[in-house]
Amino acid sequence: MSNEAKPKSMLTRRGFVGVGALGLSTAVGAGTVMEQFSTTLDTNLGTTSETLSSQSTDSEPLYESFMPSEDLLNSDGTGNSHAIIQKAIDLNRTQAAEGSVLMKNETDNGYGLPLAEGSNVTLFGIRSEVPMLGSSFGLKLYGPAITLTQALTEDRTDFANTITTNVNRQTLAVAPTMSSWSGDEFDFDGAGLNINPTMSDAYAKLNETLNHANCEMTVTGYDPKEPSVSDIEGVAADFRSSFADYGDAAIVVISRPTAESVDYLPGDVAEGLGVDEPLQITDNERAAIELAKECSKNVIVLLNTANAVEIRDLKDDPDISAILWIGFPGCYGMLGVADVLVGKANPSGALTDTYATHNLSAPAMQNMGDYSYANADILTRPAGIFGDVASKYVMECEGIYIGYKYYETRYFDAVMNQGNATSAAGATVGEVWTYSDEVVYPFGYGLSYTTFQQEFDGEPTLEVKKDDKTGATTAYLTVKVKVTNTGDVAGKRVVEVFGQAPYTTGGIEKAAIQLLNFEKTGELAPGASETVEVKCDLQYIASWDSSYANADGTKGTYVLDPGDYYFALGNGAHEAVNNVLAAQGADEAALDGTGDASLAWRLQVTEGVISKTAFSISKNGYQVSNHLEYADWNHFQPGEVTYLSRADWEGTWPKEYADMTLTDEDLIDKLNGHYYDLKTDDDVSGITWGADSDLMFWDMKGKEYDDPAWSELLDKITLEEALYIATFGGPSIPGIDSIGLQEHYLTENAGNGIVLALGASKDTAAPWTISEGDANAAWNGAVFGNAPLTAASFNNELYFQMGEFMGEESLFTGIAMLWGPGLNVHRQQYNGRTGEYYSEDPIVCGNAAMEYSMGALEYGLIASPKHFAFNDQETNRAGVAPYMTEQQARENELRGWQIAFEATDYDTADHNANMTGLMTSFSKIGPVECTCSTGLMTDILKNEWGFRGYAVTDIYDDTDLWASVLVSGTTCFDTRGISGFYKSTTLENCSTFASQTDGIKIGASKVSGDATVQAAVKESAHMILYAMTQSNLVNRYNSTTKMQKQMTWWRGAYLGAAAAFGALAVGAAASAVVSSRKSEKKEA
Amino acid sequence: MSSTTVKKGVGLYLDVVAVVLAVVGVIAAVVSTTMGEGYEFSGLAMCICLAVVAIALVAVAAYTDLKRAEKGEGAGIVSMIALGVAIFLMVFCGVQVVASRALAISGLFSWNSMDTTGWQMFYAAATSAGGFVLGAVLLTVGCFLPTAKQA
Repeated sequence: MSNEAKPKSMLTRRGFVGVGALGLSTAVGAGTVMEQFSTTLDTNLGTTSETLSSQSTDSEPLYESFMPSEDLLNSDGTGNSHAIIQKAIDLNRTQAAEGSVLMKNETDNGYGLPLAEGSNVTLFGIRSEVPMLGSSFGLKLYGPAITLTQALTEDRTDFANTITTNVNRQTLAVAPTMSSWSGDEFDFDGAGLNINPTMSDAYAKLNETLNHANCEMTVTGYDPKEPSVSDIEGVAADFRSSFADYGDAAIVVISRPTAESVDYLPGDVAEGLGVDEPLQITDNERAAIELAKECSKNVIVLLNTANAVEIRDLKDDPDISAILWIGFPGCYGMLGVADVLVGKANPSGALTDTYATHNLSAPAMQNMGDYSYANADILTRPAGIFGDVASKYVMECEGIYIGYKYYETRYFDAVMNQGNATSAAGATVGEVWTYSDEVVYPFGYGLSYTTFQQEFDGEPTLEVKKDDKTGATTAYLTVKVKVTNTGDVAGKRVVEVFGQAPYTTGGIEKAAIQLLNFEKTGELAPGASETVEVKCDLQYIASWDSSYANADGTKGTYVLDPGDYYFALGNGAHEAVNNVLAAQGADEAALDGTGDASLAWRLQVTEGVISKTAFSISKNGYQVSNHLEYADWNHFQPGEVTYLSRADWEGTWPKEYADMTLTDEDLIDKLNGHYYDLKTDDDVSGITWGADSDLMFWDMKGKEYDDPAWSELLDKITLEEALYIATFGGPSIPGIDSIGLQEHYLTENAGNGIVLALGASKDTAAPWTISEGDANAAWNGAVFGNAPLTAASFNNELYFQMGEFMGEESLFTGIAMLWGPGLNVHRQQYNGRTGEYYSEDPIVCGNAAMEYSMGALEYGLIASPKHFAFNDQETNRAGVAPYMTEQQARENELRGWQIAFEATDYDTADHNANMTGLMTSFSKIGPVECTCSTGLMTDILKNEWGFRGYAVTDIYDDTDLWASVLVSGTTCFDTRGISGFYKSTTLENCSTFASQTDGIKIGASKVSGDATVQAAVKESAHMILYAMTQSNLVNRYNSTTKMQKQMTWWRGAYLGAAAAFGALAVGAAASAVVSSRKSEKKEA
Repeated sequence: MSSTTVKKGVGLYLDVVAVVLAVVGVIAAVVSTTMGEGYEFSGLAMCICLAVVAIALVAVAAYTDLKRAEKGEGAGIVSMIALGVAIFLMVFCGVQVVASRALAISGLFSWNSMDTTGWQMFYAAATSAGGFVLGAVLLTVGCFLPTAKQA
């Protein structure tokens, strides 16, 4: 009776079996999860769970296709982290100096800017102590920074004590973006000012409770939390006594945050601020300005914003000497701001957005926010992980009149007495609409510390050519502009060329003025001149005519109506339109400002000069036609929506379209996500998979998209492999065994820099890898100022340099693609993503993105601009349906993308330059998801513009419409966090794709009878692999390449725990069995 | 061997509580999978089956221990193995409930925090996983304690 004799012993053994089982199961379960998300763990824990192993040989050398510039390498070829950071500091400084916009500078009384070196200055406003340096959420900055005070007073960084902070969007807690900095410090030449320590200390003390961060986002019921005068007195009762010693100038900093996912909303402000709208200056901010006036006769206001704040009275206030817009300057951008403040840099930026008296005066603001269909309950598409994706919409009935295209066109019509332009509709002051009431600073406007004269250097020249190969007609107007520095300090000047197409009342809508292109001079010494050539693509002055009947039976094309076209120079759109008005003989008394007819040039267009339909064949050789007719609500339910027309500003002024009722079956069907039905019995014999071939991934390096070798390679891939690559779009992408492609961590977010630490490279075999032990290994590349700041430089070379540096960062961090930059237009000023997108003008957006992307490509980094397209608000961003005319889409929303993707400036005789990446939008276009819009993704993007590359969805977007997404032309899904493909993650078991709207589970077997999906998947594989072969990924590949699993500490921990607990369980059980048998024997 | 009067031990009570928790885990798993499209627990059927097996094994362990106690014997090999396997299965179920939603849950704590349905799913999944794991822990503690005692 041993069991009776030793019950405790048996229970103990049983207990150990239980502990063993508990531990074993936990370890195995944890291990399974960790393997599934191994790359995510690697990114967050700094581990390397797999490495690519390749041997460089004489015949197949590695890491020679793309290399960092020599100034970033040590003599032995290893990376020089100090040099990398120094280059980032210098570039960010230039970005801020060139992008800052001087809006006002009254120097007649000896005040204003620049400040003299050695001046004693007081900073006002809580944001002088904690300025907004970047956006938050997806685009926050990382790591240490140079503060405004340091830039103004110091000459060496104090990175260890100035780490940027970010607000957690759930808890609103403020935390540093990096736990500590123990790397290098850097010398810089500061502004040499003396700053009032009393006020700086007071604001620092106040921020202990106000808790501002450098990277924030707006919140519901916004409050900028500017301390009141009594708050200041509470921490520094006698602060005013410090003014006497620091009264040479008073600088007031005013900020507004912006970040993805949250918009400002009309009227959504906290109570007691003294304002009705979130972008108005609050009572406490005004009080800070009043304190500044008490302190000094020289009051300078810094606008530390991305969204246009309402500053009419600051402009008109004679006691405010200067206003300088500085955007979100980035970690080191305050150096550039300081350079401008003391005149080391002469401001040369120009506004990328119109500063209206009231932002609500924009027609786009009449329909912005949260709108649901009145009968949304009839929709059947289920909500996904983002919640409601079907029932939200916004009616963009402003038509083409966005930003300055509205204000300046209405102004033009008011002067010319057309279309009820002066009616009360849209007027925010009084019963008559006047430009001077509605606009504070126009688009494209910016001042300098010097003065410039611009004049045409000869007649502009028109070159019209037809490409025999594509049949496309191109028409470029080259405008030579002589710029002379007529002041007494050196400076640069933006040259902006605007155009006006002839408008006929009741005809196609046309803006009275639109930017056609721009360039920037070099640094011009006083008295010096430079002739700048600005090449204008006349396609961008053509208008989209949706009703035009094409010869092939389709409708819609670009038209150049015959008549007088005007091309004008100007410091901003308003000056340009005035110059056009002067050239047209308008009554000078009716003008707001003055016009100069000599700065406008007329081109009489007849069919003999340029055909009306010259641009009906795209540069890629495709007949253009309507592809987004379903974007227009009236396409489904005619006559229900009125779009703004300059034929009758009053009668067509946008009303708010709330509670629209769905009646059209096709409209409802589209909202339900019914775009494509999977087939089961197609003849797929013409599509080859798994064919024999010796071609491998590395053999395709540098091959053109239409190289015949691609066909052979793609036939070699199996259908299952192609489905994996066309489904899991990264950051981790699946390997393809048959062609030797390995699973990679391919992409990352970017825009303001690549979000990865130098010492956490995904390509540790690169000879320039910065080791984890490097003093600066923790430095993260996301340090630059935001997109509007870059754009405001109006400097194509700077855009390119920004891209180049991202490319170099990518080589050090082992990233081949980036998700950025942002490329949507600022439809209105309340968008949470205004700080991520460049401008309200598509020409600025397109140029900036094109140059940035081409610069990045120099180092093999594929820039994938986002979000294609129509991300016009973040409210209901998961699937909001923006309804608009195709003309609006073509001329505003898509034009920037077209410029960037066609990249015509980089075409050569034997190479059609092309950006090779993009990310789609969460948004719909009309009722159709952008990801599923064949018109957008194939007809326009691929066919008209010639896009060839990687087109990924936004995170997990439309995973319930898998087949529809793939057949539209979108090449893959953003599947962030997922890895371990073919093993722990399969097509069949991936929960992200588990719920398909059509009820069909995904997998290779499901598409075996669908020729359309198979063809689309093959093309997607082609597009993705082509993009990869253009990228720096090819640095790592040759015929010896293979993947090797590494023993990380977490892998060792779970394997060790499983082994230990397993041994415990087995040992205890065995011991119990042996003991039991012994007892039985004894008993016997 | 004569039959002996027995009374219930602490281990039995822990087993019962563990079974209740496992049932809670199953119910919560079912609830979490019906929260909405996109939140289905693809391994629900397997999870339910494994949980039922685990509960059955606990019952077998308790039954055999009670039978042995009636004969004056202590815990035996059968209950040891049954409980060991039951513990393994219950933890496995708990991990599966969480692992299958790891992406969705990580999203709630980052870019998708506004997803109220997702949070409801998270709470249900956490309840389910908690029920399974806590049940397994109680079973483990119960392993060290007698299921029955001689009166």
